[in-house]
Amino acid sequence: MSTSLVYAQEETQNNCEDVLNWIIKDLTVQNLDKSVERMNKKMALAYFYAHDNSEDLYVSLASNPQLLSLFESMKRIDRDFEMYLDKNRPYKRYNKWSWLPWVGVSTNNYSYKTIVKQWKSLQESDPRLFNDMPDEYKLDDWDIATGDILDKVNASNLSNPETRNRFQSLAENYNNRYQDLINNTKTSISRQMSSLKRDIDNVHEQMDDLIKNIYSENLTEFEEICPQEQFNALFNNDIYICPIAGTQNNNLTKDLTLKLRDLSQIVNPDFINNIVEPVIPEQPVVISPNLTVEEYDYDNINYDGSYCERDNNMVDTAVIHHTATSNMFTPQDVHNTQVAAHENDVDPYGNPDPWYMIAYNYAITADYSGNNVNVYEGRPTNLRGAHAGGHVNIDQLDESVREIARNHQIKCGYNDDQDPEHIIDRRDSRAERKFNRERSEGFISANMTSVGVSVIGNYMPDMIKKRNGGYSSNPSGYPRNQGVRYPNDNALKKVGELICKLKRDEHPNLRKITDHNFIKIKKALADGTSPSGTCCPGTVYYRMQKIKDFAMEACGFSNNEFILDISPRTRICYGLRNL
Amino acid sequence: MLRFAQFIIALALLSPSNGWANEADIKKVALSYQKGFDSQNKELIKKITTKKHYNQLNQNKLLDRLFQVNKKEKNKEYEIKVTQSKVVKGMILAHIEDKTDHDNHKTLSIIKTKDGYKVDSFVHMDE
Repeated sequence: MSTSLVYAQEETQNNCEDVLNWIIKDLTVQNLDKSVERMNKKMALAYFYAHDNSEDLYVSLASNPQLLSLFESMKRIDRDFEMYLDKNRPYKRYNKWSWLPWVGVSTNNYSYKTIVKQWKSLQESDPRLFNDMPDEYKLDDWDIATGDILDKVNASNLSNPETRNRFQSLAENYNNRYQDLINNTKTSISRQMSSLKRDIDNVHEQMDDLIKNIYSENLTEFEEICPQEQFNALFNNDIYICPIAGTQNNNLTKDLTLKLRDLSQIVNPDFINNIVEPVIPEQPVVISPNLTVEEYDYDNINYDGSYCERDNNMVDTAVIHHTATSNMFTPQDVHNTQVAAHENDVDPYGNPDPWYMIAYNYAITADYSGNNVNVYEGRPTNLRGAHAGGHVNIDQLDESVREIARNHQIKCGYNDDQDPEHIIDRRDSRAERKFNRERSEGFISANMTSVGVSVIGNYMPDMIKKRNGGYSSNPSGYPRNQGVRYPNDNALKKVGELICKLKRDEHPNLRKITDHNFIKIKKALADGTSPSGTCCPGTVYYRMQKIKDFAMEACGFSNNEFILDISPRTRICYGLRNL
Repeated sequence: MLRFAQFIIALALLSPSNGWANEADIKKVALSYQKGFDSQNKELIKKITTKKHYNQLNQNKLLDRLFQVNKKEKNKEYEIKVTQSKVVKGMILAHIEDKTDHDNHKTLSIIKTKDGYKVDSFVHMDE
């Protein structure tokens, strides 16, 4: 049954497929409770497979950016999703049912159909992510049809009392059933998976019979469009070529549509008439965002500090940070603290090596509710930053920047006349020698090939769990006992737009988006040595996929123009694993 | 008389008239702050923090929650480095590090008040 549905593509010119497609849609409408149940249970089952019994959902999500993306998409359907997670720790006991889309619940203008399509696409493109879940339990076109109907139901705002009552009753029914499952915490995951599969199989069998019955009952109308033999061949998943498709009868599709409409009105006129085309907002494709990056005139630059210029073409990575400060900090506050804290730094030979100015190339302000989002310049982006704290092997750089890095004529020095253009007046040969020496050994500072973007704020809890026991204090962090603080979407969107803008205007080879921790430990991991990481960028780490999505959206990209290159879950800082 | 004059000269030389704080005082404040946490002594913390920072530490009962889950420490030893910034006027930072656990460190911002030097904020330098 499920395999035959694969043939039921939408908007096909094949009339038999149209008939089958319509039957499925009609079935979905008439048996929406079963269809939604089937769709929900398949998604729940997919989560079970993907989690592989992991106890820490967030860690599991973070290691699979695509899964994280779906997690985010599900949140758009059910805004209580994350809150539910927080309330139901540990996640081992969290039953992955309650957040699934409810019939009659507003989608907040987000399309169910789009979500189901994303899931289906992911299951097709990356079956390993779902630990080789059997094909019959993967999402199919029927599920897409189900999502489509749910969109239509939502678009109608349930204005028809009969429709509203029907769906409210369905929602209550689901709620009761799912609540039973949630309460039944003694059931093992494997038993729940078996139960899910059994239920899905049952729905399949019932619907299988119904499809045949509908065709038989409407044989008179259907047969002239799609002969029974061909319908059966399609339905049974035989090799099938519909002889009517592609004929010169241009009116056929129109006739079919009219017939189907007539049929649909006979089946349930009130309901069908109340379904209107959904108003689903188009995803805006804004190529080259008109993002404003505010200039910032920093006081207290340390002119005793040297800095290095770089070729903008050698940047292939955007490194995401948080400042681990109050979000009331201004870029100047961040600058002041960093300059002061590194005023007495020395190099490995004991020579003074203070910081010139703010470490990051860009700083983004936003309050935690997502207001007052502004993007400010930090250290000019044609200068090497001081944010990454690690090195990269030249061989591991993107091909486009490898040769540039190998041949770059380094220029480091001091801004003696304190000009605002940061023009080097006196060379720092020691810093230049260091760069050349490291390069000859096959690596360079990660600051050279990356641009540092920092979200101002503290995205760690106020009590950070330590590996060797106990907690350390982090007073500007979020209250650990009141749920997890994540960066607001508005701030993340600006980060994404900034990355897009940087690729467009400054760093054409920018491709990788990474978290601070990963850039810091990357070389050590590659070399097999013991890495010393950081908790930065806090919970922003769990939103890296969103940043990438926003960057892709802002640039109108659809393939792999930007890629995530983030810490594996086993390498994120201990305090971030145990929020 | 000569001794008194010597004393006055010595006092003048030692006084922070050039705007620089006495490093020993700064270290003492930073160490007290840390010891306040280790010994779970709220009064000590209150005494050497500004009102603003103390309020921050008590927001959402942070100190109480910390004290509940952490064990009391008595004999931990710390190394403290003080930076009195020349570039950022008036900024004093104290970096405090556990001598036996180098991962256990923090940076404090210290300001001068009418009641002496006090910890004004916790600077989480996550680099």
